[in-house]
Amino acid sequence: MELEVHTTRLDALVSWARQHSLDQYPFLSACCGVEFMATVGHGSSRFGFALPKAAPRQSDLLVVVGTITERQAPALRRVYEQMGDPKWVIAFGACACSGGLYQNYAVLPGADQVIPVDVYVPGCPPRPEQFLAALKQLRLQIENQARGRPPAVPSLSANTQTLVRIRPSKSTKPNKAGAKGGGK
Amino acid sequence: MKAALDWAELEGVLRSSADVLEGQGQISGLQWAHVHRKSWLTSSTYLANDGWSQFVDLSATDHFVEGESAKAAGRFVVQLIVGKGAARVALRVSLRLAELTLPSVAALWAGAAWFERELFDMYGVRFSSHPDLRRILLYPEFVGHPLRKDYEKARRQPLLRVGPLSQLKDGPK
Amino acid sequence: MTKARGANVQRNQRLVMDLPEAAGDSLGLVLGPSHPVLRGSARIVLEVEGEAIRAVDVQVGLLHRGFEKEAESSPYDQTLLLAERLNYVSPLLSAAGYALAVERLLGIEENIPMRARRLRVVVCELSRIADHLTCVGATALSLGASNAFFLLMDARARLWRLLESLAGPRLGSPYIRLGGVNSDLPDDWVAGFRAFSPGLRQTVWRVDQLLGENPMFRERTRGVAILAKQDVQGWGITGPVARASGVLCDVRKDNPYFGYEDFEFDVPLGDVGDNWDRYCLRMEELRQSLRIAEQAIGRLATGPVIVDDPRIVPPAVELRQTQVWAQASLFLLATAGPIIHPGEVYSAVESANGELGFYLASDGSARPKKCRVRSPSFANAAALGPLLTGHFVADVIPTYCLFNIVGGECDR
Repeated sequence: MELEVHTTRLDALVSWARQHSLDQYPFLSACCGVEFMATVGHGSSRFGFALPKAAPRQSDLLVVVGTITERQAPALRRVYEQMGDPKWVIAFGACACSGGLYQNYAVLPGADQVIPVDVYVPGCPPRPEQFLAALKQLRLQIENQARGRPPAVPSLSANTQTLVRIRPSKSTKPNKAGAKGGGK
Repeated sequence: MKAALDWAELEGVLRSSADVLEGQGQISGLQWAHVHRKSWLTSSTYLANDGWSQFVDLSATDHFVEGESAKAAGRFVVQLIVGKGAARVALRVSLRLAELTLPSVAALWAGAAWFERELFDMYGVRFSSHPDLRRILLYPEFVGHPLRKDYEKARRQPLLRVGPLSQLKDGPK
Repeated sequence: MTKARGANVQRNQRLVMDLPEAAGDSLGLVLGPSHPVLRGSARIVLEVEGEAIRAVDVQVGLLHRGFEKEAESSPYDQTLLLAERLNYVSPLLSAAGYALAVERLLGIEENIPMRARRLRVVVCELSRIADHLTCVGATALSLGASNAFFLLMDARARLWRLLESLAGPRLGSPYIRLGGVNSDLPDDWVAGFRAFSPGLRQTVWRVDQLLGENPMFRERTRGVAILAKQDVQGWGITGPVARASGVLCDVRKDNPYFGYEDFEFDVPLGDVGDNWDRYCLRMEELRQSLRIAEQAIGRLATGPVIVDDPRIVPPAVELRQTQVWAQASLFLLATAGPIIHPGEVYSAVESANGELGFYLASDGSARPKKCRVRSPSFANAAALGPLLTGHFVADVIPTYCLFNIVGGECDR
């Protein structure tokens, strides 16, 4: 019996495995979700992109799809924290990248305010093909990480290590002008 | 033939509670009647009994203009739109900042409950005898009422904020 | 009016559970916001005892993006972009509703060219079809009928390819403009549409076989979440949910716009108002919408596709090159945006979920004083909580899907 033997470095093998078996957790939120669902028809599964699971513990890739409002930010952070390492994040859509069309009191100006993002996919909404391009970009990053090179796009994780949840204010002092009545 | 509001009857109802119709008019899409705050419940009850059973909308407009007094009378105009078949009628009331309260009409139209919560959330209008008056679109930690004209559009109140490094010890919450 | 399928058949009613007063072992359960079906648009907090729901708190607002505040500081034509993203499953319909409101505010509704109105009807009805396909597809998926889901999603993909060739991008399309539509039909579009519509009818028939004839689907939907006819109007419920309970209300018939009065179509009505009726009604509405679209294609008038009004539409290039006023109008439109005289309007269209109303108040400047969206999903969602009390946990998601609470429209 003949054996076929390949030699490689362990981290190259691991990185190859990781790149081609990304289990995604789509954090669907708004309009981009409809475009994201359309990627199914574009053959993303041939890249090892498995059927989306709604389980953070079993996923490697968090795809933030759509507008993240301030109200959803703690949920997004919680989902990210529940995922096990190694994990990557793709921000899909202009709103997830930077707040997009909505620059107001309600919308988080980008998912990277609360979680580190690896690949940004701009567009309002992006074409489904752009998502495949983002996957390719992410695979390059994983490859670079394995070889000890800096990732293709530096992730903004430095300032998101400590996040404090704001509690309702118990102060009985009157609020600033224009904010009478408080929030409760 | 679309149903129309019986103005004479409405005026009669108001007169019986020593009040007058403050204004009326027709815009594209609906007829509107402007009443005083103290007749809000009587006029709404009249409408509900008169067959205007389709609840459509409850909203408010802030007429504050930069440079004018924020406490001016008639700054906020609350508009209740109800329907009968194809017709729509609006009941309006003016409120000032110091007296931003109204009786709730949730007992007349069940759908009004959520719309009143939204008015409380966005403008700060308090509805007496409302079953569950709390914020609906925004989070409880939010301070202020964003649809008021003196609330800056981009004034964010983040729920998660970068905290001091000492928080690292306790781990993420 | 055609009745929804199965309306006359004897039903075995699922009784709403009559729960004892004692607190017992109740468990708090939170569904969402990150949920495969709720898709981030709601958080449903349940208090359950075993499988039975004792109390429900439907929390919406997770996708509140400040539409009304943005509109107060945006030009009227930029708000069209935001309006499109309200109901993002049928964006062209929401955009058309907003455009109609601005045109009524300007008082130029009658001046919109007939060809533009017919084209708007075509895209609105096709968008409504896309919305219903998504709604029924999501319901099928949530109940485990993934075959039906894939059939419907495939039909929707084909529909959107057709619409893309006409309108451009699926979302973010510049097709609906203030005063008309952006461009005329491509040459082969009608042929493409005529090739598409029998396929859609076939898909709807097949899905009806897969779901409608399926005893498990019927068991899961019949007698579930019955919304009584007398409650519908007080809750402010409109659209397919209201019609499934037997209340006849359709803005296309009551206050026609875009020339809907010229078309023949039926408004189906349900009988009981349970999930089964809501499903049947949406399938029937799919067929009726296709019927309207076919009639509109057959009766396209000739002429321009956008109104000739310099307040909202830039004048033609030839005029701009020779007349100063034309260049000035373009300049004003590009910098300030449309300037509308003081006035108010309440304008409603029949969106896929019900009466989508816009209350616009202008003060004579280039920004509206108030731009209120009367959201049908918001009114429908208000009734969801009381409706679900007493049902099983497994009924929550199918009911939510059939109510079609679209986050962008509900929370604005």
